[in-house]
Amino acid sequence: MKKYLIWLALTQKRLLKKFSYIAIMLSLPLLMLAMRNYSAEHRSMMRVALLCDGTPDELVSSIIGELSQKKGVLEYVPCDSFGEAKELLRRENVDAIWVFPGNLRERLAYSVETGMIDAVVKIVWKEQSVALELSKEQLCNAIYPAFSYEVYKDFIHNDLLIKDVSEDELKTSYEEMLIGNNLFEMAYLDGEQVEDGSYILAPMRGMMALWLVLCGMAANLFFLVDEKNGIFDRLLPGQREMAAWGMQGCVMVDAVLVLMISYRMAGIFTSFHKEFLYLLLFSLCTMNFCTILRFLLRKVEIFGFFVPVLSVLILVLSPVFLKIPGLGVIKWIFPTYFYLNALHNPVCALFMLVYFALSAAGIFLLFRSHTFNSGFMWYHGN
Amino acid sequence: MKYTLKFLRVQFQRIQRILAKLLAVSFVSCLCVTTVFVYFIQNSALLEGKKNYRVGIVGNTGDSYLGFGIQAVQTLDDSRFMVDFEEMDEDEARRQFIRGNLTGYVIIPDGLVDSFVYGRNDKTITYVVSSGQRGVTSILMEELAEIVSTLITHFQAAVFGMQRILLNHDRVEILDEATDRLNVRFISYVLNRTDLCEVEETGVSDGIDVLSYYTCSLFVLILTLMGMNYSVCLVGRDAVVTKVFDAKGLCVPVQVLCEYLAYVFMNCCALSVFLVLFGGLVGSGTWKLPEWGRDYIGDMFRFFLNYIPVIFLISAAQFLFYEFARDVVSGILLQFLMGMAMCYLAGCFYPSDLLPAGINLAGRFLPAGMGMHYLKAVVSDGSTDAKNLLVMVLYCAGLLAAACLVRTSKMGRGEKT
Repeated sequence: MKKYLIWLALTQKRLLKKFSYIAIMLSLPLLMLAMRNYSAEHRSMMRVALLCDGTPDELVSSIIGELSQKKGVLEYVPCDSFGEAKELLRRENVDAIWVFPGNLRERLAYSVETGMIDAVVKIVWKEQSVALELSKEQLCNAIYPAFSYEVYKDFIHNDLLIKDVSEDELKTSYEEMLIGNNLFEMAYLDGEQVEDGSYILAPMRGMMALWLVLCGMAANLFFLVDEKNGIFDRLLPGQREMAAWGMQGCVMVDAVLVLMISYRMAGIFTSFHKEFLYLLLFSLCTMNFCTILRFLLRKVEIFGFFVPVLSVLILVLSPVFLKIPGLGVIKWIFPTYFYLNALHNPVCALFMLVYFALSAAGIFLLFRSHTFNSGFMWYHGN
Repeated sequence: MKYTLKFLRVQFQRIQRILAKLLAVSFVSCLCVTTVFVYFIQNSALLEGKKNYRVGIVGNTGDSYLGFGIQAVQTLDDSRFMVDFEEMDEDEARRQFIRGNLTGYVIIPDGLVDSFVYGRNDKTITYVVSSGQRGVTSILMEELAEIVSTLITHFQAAVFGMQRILLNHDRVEILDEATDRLNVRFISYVLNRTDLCEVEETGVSDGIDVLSYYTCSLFVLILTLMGMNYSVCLVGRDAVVTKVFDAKGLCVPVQVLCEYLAYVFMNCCALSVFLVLFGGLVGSGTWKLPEWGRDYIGDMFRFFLNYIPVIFLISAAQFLFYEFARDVVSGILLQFLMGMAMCYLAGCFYPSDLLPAGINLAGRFLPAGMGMHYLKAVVSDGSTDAKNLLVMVLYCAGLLAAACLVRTSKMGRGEKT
């Protein structure tokens, strides 16, 4: 046992002596920090050019002013002329143009008075899409408060025929009844509230989970290269397996540490005990998954060739960018699927335990089969 | 010259040893990737940007206001073209959500409508967005939720403000009737709110279709990921070997060039499998880019031909990354990190237009970004952009020059290459 621990320490030293290994490990948290800082400033997915046709009234100025300051899924770019906005659209610097009339309040009042909703704002875009339909809703949302007030005012004056109510009284009654809080509460499956964040960082946890799996695969490749070079020739099969696990363990310890720091840098760290426990389970499942791959693929070159295949499959089948419906059992092959869903669904953490147990059983069977075959061939060879 | 050709032949012989295995694995990997991609295309309208999000509704919607409201939204409102609402119980919603059949689900607490009607607003509607990290779709749904909140709160303010005016002016007798009339008026305005704007579509002129975009990004992504294949072959050689060849008259640039050409050949062989599979799908009509005309087979071969400069460019970048790696572990991790970062910034995962301007600009100068830009231009224009091609050739030469510098410096330090 003592020798094994010394060997583990030396393996870790061997890895840490390589500048490139340390550089790669350190680059991940720095990359996450850079992404976080950048995403804090830039959160928009679409850009909309705003302009006014004619001299803007106070409503248009107020809407354009408010929207220009807003930071969200849409970013607003005030423009001075339609030509300028159209050029931005042509060069795809903006996704849509909103053209407000100069007399917006008057036009809204007229719409309400006649009872016929008139198209008061012009939208120009290249091609319809769900995201642009959402932007149309945002535009209606921007005009709606003023429109709602006009409807309310018109109803009192012209429907209820209460003419002796002052503008101040109308405004005060309306504003005092206006409740500013959001009626919706965004939550995860476990009931935790959704934190504020940028879409740029949305796939980062998934990418880093994939990175951890790659660390496991790389560690196994490392072992296979050493095995091919005869470093473990004097060891019994069981001892060789311990060596393989030791190598994996050394790389995984570094990787888990780096991941936790990266999560913190990216601002997606939840709580220490949760992240540590889930990463521990995930790394154990990953080690089993990579070990099974090593038993099945055996050769260094073949294992190396499968690394990109598995990377793509993990990217697509695990909820890194999208959650694809269907393909249930195939998705379960990869430990990343359970880990990424476990964050706010503790049941998936239990599934990781089941995955670990089943994969451990699989490794045991493969190991026995492999040692039996090796012993059979050695016996008959001799 | 004789030694150079001999050295080049040796590099190709090195490749030959692993070529059969490489082709076999490429076939399996490309089959997996294209199967998933085709499944994706055929089962989802997401790539067309016209996917309807499915949202579950959990809770008692039997109340006249709420039930009517949901029905009105499902049948009359413009949002029915974006979102499909389905009523179900919470267990079913959780199951469907975990399976990925629902974008999210909404939990309506008991007494919600009373809370709105009496102006308390002390109950909130919980919208379950994700079981893991929140994604782009949930961010969009949050925007929608904010819009709905604004509609409801202003609606309420108008109704309660009107009621207060009636109370202040002693017109209590018409309170109920006035409230009903104002409600009806607002409902009709809310359902027709998008009539407040008119839309002019200019049509897609400079851009390409979403399917074409993601086809280009798949070509770049596969090529980038292939780089991880060769770590075991290319990493860990002794600098002494480099010195010996240098002493024999094969200078470092010649060595790098010969190894690079063999590396490109290896990549081309591996990718040929993917191109054959892709060609099969195009020929069968499963995968056809909208920009391609009637002669889509010809367009496809022109696209393949234009893919070759991209292979050269990204292979040069991968070759340079391998010069920095000292062992297999570093090689794989470095290829992955640099490859994924390049692809992300180049817009292979999210369309580059969605990325902030700074990131977009940075991505354009990376090999993957340059490759994407070149392929997109080929798809939209149907012809080769000579200026872009020249830039790519110069970039490739620059990357190889950097690889030479790195190897020379390692040779001087006696390190492994």
